[in-house]
Amino acid sequence: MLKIIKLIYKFLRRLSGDDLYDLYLKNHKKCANKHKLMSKKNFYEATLDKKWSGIKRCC
Amino acid sequence: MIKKYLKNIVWFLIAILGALAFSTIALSRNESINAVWFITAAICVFMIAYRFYASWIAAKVLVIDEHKKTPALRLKNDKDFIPTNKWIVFGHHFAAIAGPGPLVGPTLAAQFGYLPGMLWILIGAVLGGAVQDMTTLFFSMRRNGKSLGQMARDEIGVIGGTASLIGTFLIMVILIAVLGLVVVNAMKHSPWATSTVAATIPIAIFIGVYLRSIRSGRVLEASLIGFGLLLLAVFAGGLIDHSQTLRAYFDHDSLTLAWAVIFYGFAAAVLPVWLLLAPRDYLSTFVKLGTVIVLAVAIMTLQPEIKMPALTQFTDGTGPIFGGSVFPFVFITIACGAISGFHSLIASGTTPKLLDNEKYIPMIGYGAMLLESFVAIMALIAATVLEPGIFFAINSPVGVVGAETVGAIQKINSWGFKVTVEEMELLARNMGETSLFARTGGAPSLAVGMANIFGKAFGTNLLAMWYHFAIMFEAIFILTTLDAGTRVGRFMLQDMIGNIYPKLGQTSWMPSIILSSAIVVSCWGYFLYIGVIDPNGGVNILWPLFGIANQMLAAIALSVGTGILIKSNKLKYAWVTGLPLIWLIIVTTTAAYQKIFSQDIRVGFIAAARDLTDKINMGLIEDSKISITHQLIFNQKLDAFITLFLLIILWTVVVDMLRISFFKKN
Repeated sequence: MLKIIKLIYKFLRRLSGDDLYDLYLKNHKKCANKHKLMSKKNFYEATLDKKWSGIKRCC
Repeated sequence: MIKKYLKNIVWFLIAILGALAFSTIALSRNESINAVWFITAAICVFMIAYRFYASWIAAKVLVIDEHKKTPALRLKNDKDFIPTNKWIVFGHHFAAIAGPGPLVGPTLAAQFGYLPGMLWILIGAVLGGAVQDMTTLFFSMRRNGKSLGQMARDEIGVIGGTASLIGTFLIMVILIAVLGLVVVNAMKHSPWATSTVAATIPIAIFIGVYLRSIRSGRVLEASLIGFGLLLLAVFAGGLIDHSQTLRAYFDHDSLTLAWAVIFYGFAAAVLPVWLLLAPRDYLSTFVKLGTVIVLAVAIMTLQPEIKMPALTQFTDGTGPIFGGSVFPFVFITIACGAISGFHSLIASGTTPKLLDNEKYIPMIGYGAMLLESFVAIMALIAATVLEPGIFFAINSPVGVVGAETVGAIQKINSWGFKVTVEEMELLARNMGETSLFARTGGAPSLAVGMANIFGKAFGTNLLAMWYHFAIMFEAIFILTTLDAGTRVGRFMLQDMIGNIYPKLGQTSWMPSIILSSAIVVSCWGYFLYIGVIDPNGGVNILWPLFGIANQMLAAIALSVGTGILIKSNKLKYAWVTGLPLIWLIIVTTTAAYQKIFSQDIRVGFIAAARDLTDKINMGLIEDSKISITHQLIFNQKLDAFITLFLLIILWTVVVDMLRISFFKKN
């Protein structure tokens, strides 16, 4: 049961974008990215700016 | 082998059940019908369509290859191209396509009775809307995630590309105006609704600050806090409504509220995304999904009876909500939920850059559209479980039934729909409103329907709370679409004027932001103003215009799809996109022609303008109303011009597609 709840929580985090910064950190470390690591706040703002630069909501 | 037979038997039983439900709905006359038949028919039709038609299109027409690397994998950059789990993509895609349209359109179309809307939603979605979304997604994925505009330019030519760009901008302007009108009509002289909707702004700003500066990026917990605050706002709205001092601050007429919405739209486009738009979207997505799920469960549990007849006398075009006969106007009124061109912009936007396997295209492209249609079916149920007399009393504009309560009731009774002044007064009291007469736009009647369903499921003593929760639910994502649409319109405009003066093309340069936002807001603000001053409630003018624009965009997307199929030597399958395209051409052209040239003043723009001119000339208009009548005349002519323009775009694209597909050698 606990496993299912954890799975649902993980899914909801992924769906809502709650875990985006965690994924970014993981990816940054894995790729030994040359770009400067963004703070959580800067990352959040950059993600939103990118997301809302196109048509994202319909009628 | 046995398993295969069992599977076939199950599908056969689903088909039988679907046919039974479908025929029960279609053949019922003068007897009440249970909403469960609607749900059953929809589920069975959608299951069969998804299992067989979508699979066939995927296998035979598109020839989906699950071993082919998608753009998300080939061009992976963790910015735009990100391989993502199919359920996550489904969630994002559905949240993006399902706006307020599938709730409002079916509610308005219920004036024809439940049958035309029900049939069009089911058939239109299965053969048109879902096909458009799925094929656009596929073609975009096979072209590295190109947008509809880019594909139109590549496949049809510069004319097609330009037409889709102009079409997108126009549809955005009209959509925002009509949605703004829906919210204004829901708040008109309703302190409870106005204060609740107004409260969503500081709540969104608080969540925005919380997400940026207090607990950065913690979307889930912030959304939960926001949801709690929204519920509190609904409750507080009730207290404001009962306070003689406070209610005066929120009791406004349409014009004042329209100006408030216009000012809000400008602020939302200029302010940073994190402050208002993004947090509002988080809240609206959660409220939307939660409410739709609860509504579905409540309908299944309560199994309410449909009170609206299958067909009303208004199929002849004399309907009070909007003028025009069932053909072509039911197909224009219900766009989202059956077929919506706007979806093609999403299907060729982010979604093709996220999918990590082509085999999920039917699930995302076709499946998400079916789910949106299901939302439309529920909206239709919520509207048609109301007594027809009540439905028409709420949705009929003053221009049709008159401003006096008794006269309005007599008029509605004369149509054969029973309702009394006492019933309407009691209903308004139960819903916490002073009056529910002439609350056009669809939102209030949908909210009454939803409140009745929720009330029966969870307790009738909270009807007023449910009503205002439903209004807040509709308003919150209408305003999200308004915010997002204005912003996108701003980007499109900056892109266009950037070609003339490059500095103005810089999306982060403040003077350019202010100028372009002001232009976009002025465009939709003017149409909102047109709607508000219209004595027929505005919906009569703006909703068909929006429907025509939306279906025109769908026709462009289907033209692109048909053109690609023909050019890829798949002429024998071109009917898959070609048939819905032909239907849309017929429907859109007929509707546009009637809106321009019909002699019926409630349908034809030119006839309405001429009628008003005659009235001025004959001295039938009071002196105090002369200037506004001149404005109404100008508005009608402007609407005729825009409709004609949309028609020219549609035919230009279609003719160009045929020319390039058949006569131009690659």
